[in-house]
Amino acid sequence: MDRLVLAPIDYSILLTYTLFVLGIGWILKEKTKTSEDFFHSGHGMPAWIAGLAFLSANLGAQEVMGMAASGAKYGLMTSHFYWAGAVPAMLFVGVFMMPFYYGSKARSVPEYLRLRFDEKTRGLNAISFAAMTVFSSGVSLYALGLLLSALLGWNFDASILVAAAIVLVYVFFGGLTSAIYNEVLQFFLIVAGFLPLVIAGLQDVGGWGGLVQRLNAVAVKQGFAAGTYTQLWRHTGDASQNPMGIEWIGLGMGLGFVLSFGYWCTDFLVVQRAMAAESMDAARRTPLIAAFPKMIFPFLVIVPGLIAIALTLGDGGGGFKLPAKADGTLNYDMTIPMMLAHYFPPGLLGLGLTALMASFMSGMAGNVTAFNTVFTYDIYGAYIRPGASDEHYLKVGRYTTIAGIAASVLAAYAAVKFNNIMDLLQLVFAFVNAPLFGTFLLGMFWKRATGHGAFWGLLLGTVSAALHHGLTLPAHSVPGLKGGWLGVVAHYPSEMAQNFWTAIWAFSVCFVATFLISLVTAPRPDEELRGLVYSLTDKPKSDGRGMRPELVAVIILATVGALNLYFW
Amino acid sequence: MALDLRIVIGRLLLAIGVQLVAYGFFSDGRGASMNMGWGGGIVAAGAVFHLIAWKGKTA
Repeated sequence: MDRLVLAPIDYSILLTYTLFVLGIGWILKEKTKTSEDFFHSGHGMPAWIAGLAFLSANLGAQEVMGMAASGAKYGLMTSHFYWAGAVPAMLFVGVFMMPFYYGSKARSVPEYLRLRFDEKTRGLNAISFAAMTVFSSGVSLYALGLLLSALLGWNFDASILVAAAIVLVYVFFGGLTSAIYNEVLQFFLIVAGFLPLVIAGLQDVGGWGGLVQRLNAVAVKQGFAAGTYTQLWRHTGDASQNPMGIEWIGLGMGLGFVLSFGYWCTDFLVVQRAMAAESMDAARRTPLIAAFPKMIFPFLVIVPGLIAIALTLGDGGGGFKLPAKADGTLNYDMTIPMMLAHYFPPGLLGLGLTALMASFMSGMAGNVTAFNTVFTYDIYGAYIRPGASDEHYLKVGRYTTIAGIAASVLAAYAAVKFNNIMDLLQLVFAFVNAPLFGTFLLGMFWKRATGHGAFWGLLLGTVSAALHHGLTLPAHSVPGLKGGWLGVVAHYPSEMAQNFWTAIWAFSVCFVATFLISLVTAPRPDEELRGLVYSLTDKPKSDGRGMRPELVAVIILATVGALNLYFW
Repeated sequence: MALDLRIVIGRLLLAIGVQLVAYGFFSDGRGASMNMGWGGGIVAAGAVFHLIAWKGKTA
């Protein structure tokens, strides 16, 4: 793969962004005086800022590059990750769950679990979440180092150390506010950097009509029906009919329900942004505001992948080709960098790369801010030194930021040594997040759910996910990290199908186990559950500013439904 | 708010947009048109953020 050579203007744009990021941290240093300022932005974020940060927390470079790569590999079906696998869950958390998170005054998701269930459930969630965030942040750093060394020839060690140092400076000084501000800047950089890429690419392939025509030819060449790469549901009657290798039940239940609700409704990384909002109404509007751009983002991050595969495999050429890996298969992960290099002249290339760098760094900062909050409140404050002064917890939060970033750097180097760590991380997410949604669903909407039920349900859900993974194997894989390590009793047509069904399995076992164990253990009295369970909580009243969240949710749902129908 | 984010976004967009326009002005061909066209759009977006912040303060 040829390396890119940057012009001085590209470096200048990158430097401009870096100075802004560091400047924000420096200015916010003076305003961050209490632990609430540091961990919760003083609960002063307007809904639009919290909303864009809520969206951007899930817009790390791995997601951006990964979605473009999936667009090239699976076609427009990748939009399921947005229109089925995100927006409905975002509406649900805004309308139904945020009143509990915000109204209960919990400072984190694990703390909500303590208030609703008990200490052991909180401990289990806090420890698994803290470990996941550090790993995730480390993998983000590793991917950044890998990209910069492969694409620009920069030194791997220097790349990850400089990026880690920049994130450290702005999170150490400005805490969550700094991370949120930079996430919002990243959002605008991605729009500014990727929109011209989509426009230039579409011009190249003859507009949307030309793209569809080329993709139809690609689909037929690959042995699928024409339209497979540009239609969402029409070819999901059987897993063999689409490149994703998944049928509509697995897609709807696994991605559209368990995985998406498990992530958007329970992952503190995103929920923390809404909890920083200035009021209950702002907190409820946060995911709804995020849902609007989330609906549009497939056109920004997936369409470049469609264009890339249409030019690489379609008829008519265009001078663009995705690079191949050593084994001869296409290197889909390089879709975005290669498209930037192909279409952008110096100047715009700097802007596109800055958007990617911003995504890497804010993805890492998001993990680090979630980690320092959960560690300080739910591990240090709960088990190591409870009842200390606010000043002490602020200091611990800052030191934890240093420790979290140091651990991320170590995780990045671990990723170098174990080249399967990214696969492992995805697996851990499915094991931990999917059952957690079962716990929350019962905890928030069934007052009879007990702490013992929640704890054992979570554990059994995770264990059953591991068993399912250990007994099944995707097609064309060998037993090991991809599954089948206990013996193969079933095959899936693709890894994605296996992931979706692992999640469905984990959720179902957790849900049933929590339900059954709760029935035979003593519930807490109603008085202790007010504000924590739906039937025992007053319905939130709107502040009268703007449309009611429920109405906004209905409008968004109708729009996303229309998009699904249009691209059916 | 500790820092008016609308101003920060506006200034970042202006800083980047102006550089692109200036670079495009001294380039030729596709580089000139793309940088000046898109840079101009970014400058305009930056100006809109400043305007929104200014209107918010004077309202």
